[in-house]
Amino acid sequence: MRTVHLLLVSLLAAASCAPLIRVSLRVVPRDHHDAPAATKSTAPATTRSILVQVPRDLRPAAEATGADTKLNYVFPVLNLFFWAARGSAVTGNEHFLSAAWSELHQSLVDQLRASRLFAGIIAGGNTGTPGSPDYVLETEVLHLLASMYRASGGFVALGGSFVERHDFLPQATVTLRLRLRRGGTLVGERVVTEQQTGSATDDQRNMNRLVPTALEKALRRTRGMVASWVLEEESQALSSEQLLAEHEAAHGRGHTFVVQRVNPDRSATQLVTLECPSGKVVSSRVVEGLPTVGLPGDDLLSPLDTEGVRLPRRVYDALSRHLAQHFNLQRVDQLAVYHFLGVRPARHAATEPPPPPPTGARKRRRRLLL
Amino acid sequence: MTPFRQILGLALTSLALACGAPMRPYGHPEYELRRVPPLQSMGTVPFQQARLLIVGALEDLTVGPIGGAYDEQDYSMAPLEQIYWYHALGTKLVDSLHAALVSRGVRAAKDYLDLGAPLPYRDPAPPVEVLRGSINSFSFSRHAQGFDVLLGDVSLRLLEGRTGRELWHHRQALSFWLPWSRQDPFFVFADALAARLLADPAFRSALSGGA
Repeated sequence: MRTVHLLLVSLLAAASCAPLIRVSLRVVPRDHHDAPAATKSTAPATTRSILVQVPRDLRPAAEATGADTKLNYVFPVLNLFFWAARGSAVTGNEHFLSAAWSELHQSLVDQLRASRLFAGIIAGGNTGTPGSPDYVLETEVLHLLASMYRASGGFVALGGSFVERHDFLPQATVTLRLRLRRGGTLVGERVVTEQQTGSATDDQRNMNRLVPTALEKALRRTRGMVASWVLEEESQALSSEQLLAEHEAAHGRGHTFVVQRVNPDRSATQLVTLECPSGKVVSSRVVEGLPTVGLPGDDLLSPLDTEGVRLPRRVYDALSRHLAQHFNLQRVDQLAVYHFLGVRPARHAATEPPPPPPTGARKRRRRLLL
Repeated sequence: MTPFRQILGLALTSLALACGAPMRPYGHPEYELRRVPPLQSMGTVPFQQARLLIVGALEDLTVGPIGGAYDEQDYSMAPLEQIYWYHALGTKLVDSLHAALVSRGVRAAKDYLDLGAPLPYRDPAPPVEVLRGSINSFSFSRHAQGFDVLLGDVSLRLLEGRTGRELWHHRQALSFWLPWSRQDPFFVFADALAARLLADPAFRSALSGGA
C-alpha cells in the first residue's frame, strides 16, 4: 500500500513538473503611434541627462520564490486513493532568465532612450551618482508575476480513475513605483501598474510569457510618466506665451487640437483631431494604453498627447484659453480638464460670455409681452 | 451535474478545505462567509469644509484578477466558477469616491493629472486640500446564493495643496456583503469608504481647516 501511495504521489508530482521555458524580461520599446511625442511637446533634448537606477526588488516573497498548486491530500481507502489539489500557481525567479533583473534595467533604459527626451542616459547603480545628471529615476518593483488558479481532484484505483480539473485563465501583473528626483529634490512619485490576461490556450507552463507583455505596457507608461514630470518641471520656468508658442511650434501652426473620449470599459481612448477654428474633424483613432482620463463617454479637450504624456498644466491652460475663443469648454467635476462642448456660435465668439439658458420665467414673460 | 460528481466534489472539497486549501486566487484576502458582516448604511455627520477637496491619484497595488464568482453549495471541484478583471481600478475608484463624497455633501473635484508631486499645486492656485492614496487590496466576489462580498484595504492621505503638508492619514480596511442589486459595486465600496472618512473626527477636523 505504501509503495502504491508513493508511486501515486510521484506521478502527480511529475505531472505538475512539466518542462519550464524561462522567459526574458528584455522588452523592445515600440511606438504604437506616430513619433514619440515627448520631443514634440517641449524644447529639444539638448542637455538633459538622467541616471536610471537599478530597479529595487520589493516583491512579496511568494512572487520571488514562486508558488505552485498544492496537493492538499492523498487519502487512501482500501484500493482507492482520493486526492485534491487547489490554489494559485505563481511565477517566481525560476520562470525568468537568470539575468532577468539586469534585462529589466536595460529595458527601462531603452524605453527612456526611445522617448528622445534626454541627451544622456546613465544606467547606474543605486549608490553614488556618476557624473551629475539632471534627473535620477528610482524604480521599485512591487509586483512582477503571472498567476493562475487551479483546482483538481479525483481518485485512482487499480482498475481505473476519475479526475476532474478546473484551470482558470492566467493573468500577469507588473506594478512599479517610480520616483524622479532633480538635484536630490523629489519631482514626483507615482505607481504604474499594468496587467495582461492570458487565453484558454495558456497553461501553467507558459503563463510566464504573459509577463513581458505586461512589462512592456508598464514601461511604456513609465516613459510617459517620466516625460510628464520633466515637462511639468521645466514648464515652471517659462511664461505662458513662451509655452504656447513652443507648443504651437511643436504641433504646427495649423491649430489642430485633440478631443478624447474613453470607451465604456476604459480599455482604450478615442482621439479625434479637430481643426481650429472650424471644428472640422481631421482624423480619428482609437489608442490603447493611455492613462485613463475622464468618465466613459465624456468628450474632453485632451490633456494628453498620443504617447500618454500629460501636457504641462500651464500649457494646457494656455491652449484652453486660446481654444475658448472658438469652442465651448467647460469644467465639470474636474480641476484641470475641460469638457469639449462643440463650436461656439459666431455671434458669441471671442470674449463674450455664453448667454444664460432660457428659464421658465423668461419664457413666460415673453409670452406675456407677445 | 450528476449526483455522483456532486457527492464526490463535495467530499473532495470538504476534505481539501479541512486541509486548509486556499479558496481564493492569489492576492485575494481569504474570508469565511459567516464572518463577513452585512453592509450597514451610515449617515453623514455634519461637517464644515474650509477648502475645496481634490481627489487625486489612488495608486493600484492590487494583483489581478479583481474578483470571482463563487458557488459554495453546488460545486464539483472548487467553489470558484469564474474570475473577473478590471484594468482601471485606480481611476474607477477615484471616480466613485468623488461621486460618493459629493453625494454626501463634500465640495470636491477630481484631478486626473495628479503626478504625485510633493507640492501638488503651486501658487497662484486657490487653496485646496488633496486626497491621495493607494489601494492595497480589493476583491469583489459574486456568490450564487444571492449576495456579493466586497473586501478592500485602502491607505489615504490628506495633504495641504500648496505646501504638501500631511494633514491626516489613515489605513482603512472594509469588508461587507450586500444582496444582489443593480448598484455599481465600485460605487458601493467607495460610498462605504466615504462614510467612514466623514465619520472620522480627525478627517472632518482636517477638512474644516482645523488640523
